[in-house]
Amino acid sequence: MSLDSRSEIRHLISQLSATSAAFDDSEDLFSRGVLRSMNLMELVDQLEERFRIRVGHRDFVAGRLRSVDSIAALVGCRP
Amino acid sequence: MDDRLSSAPAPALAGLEADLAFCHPAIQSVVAVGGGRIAVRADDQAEVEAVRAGIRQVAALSIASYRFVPDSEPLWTRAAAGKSDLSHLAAFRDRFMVELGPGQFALTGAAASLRASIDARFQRLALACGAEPWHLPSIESTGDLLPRVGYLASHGQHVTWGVHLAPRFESLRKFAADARERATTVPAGDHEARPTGFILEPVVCHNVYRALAGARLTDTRLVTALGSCYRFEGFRFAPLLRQWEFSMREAVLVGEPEALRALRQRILDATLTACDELDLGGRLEIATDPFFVSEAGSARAFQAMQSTKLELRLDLGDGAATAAASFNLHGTHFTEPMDIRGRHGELLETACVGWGIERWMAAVVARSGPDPSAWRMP
Repeated sequence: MSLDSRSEIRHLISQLSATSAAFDDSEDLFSRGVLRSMNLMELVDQLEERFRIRVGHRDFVAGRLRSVDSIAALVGCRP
Repeated sequence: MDDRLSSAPAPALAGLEADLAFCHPAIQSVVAVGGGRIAVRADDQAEVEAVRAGIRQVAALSIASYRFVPDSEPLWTRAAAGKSDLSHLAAFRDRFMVELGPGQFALTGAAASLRASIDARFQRLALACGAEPWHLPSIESTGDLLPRVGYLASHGQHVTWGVHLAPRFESLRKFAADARERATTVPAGDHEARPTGFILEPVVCHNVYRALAGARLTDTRLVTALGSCYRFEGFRFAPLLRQWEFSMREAVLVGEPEALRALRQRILDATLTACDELDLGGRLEIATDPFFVSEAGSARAFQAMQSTKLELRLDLGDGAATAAASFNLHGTHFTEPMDIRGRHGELLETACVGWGIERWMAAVVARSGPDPSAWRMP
């Protein structure tokens, strides 16, 4: 996972967020209020388009969309 | 579409059947969903292509919205000692119910007693958990909570609005004359009808949060109330199982997250004990709310991800079941817009448990038959 990709993830989240609050890479973005429920599918769509991945049901259930760290791992795992 | 329909999991197919009730007014029933096909019965006068286009649009959105909703194993199951029989409901309806309009029923005699008995059971349950009894209006102003939480966008298909006549002599006289001479039953343009500013309440808990707006609570708050609730269901009305007006008792929780989870679990456990006492079979599952299909994608996914909604489905026999109770965590969804906080100014969270009284009645009758002497009264 390159630094550019991680920065892009953070930028994407910042664009979706209705707040300007700072967030750590390990924080749960939804519990923290950085992202809301209505942002979820847009986040999936953006990640799939930008990183050419397919977010699977298991990724979802395993909470891999919750933080910058987990998203970076999700994206980094894909070929 | 055929491929997506063919590969859609069970929750998506069940959800699609529900979503089709809000697709086109000409659709009278869903004949079949599955195997790559959707078959509906529609009004003979319907514009066929418009109906087909509507079905394609709704089906695409509906199936997509279930992408992340798991078809998972139930969290709890119970098999009743006795066999439930769906046909008992028809006999019960013929004997004890009078249909007064779409989804509107009078309950007579022993049926009214059964309803009261079931509600009393869950009121006792809530009180035993420390609930404070409240009475709430069965109407909800549209001025605060509803727009702040986006309820009308996500659930508008179920909502019933009201109108009243303006307090102006000339308009009222015109309406009175039309009502007397033309049997007018609905206000028209020159009658000066105005929106009431409220909806008929589809849930019980909203008015609790509205009553607590701006509160600073020093302890967990648990409230219980019985409400008459109203949800338009299109062509899906069914006696006891899906009514325009139905009864719901709720236990409404406000407090710190850990306390709410523990209290919700305590109420859930007590509800499952009620299933033992009444010998009702069923299952507890992760579920999602009936969001309007165009708004449902993120909402359903988020609820499934957080497992915020658990639903108790009670067996009715012949493979049928009814969602008779739900156990819901809301996070700060209501406390943030209604400014409900703790003693140190921290945002609290809410949860609610709802028992659909008529659906519990249906489960009791399906299990024991339409003869009141056989009912296991709570």
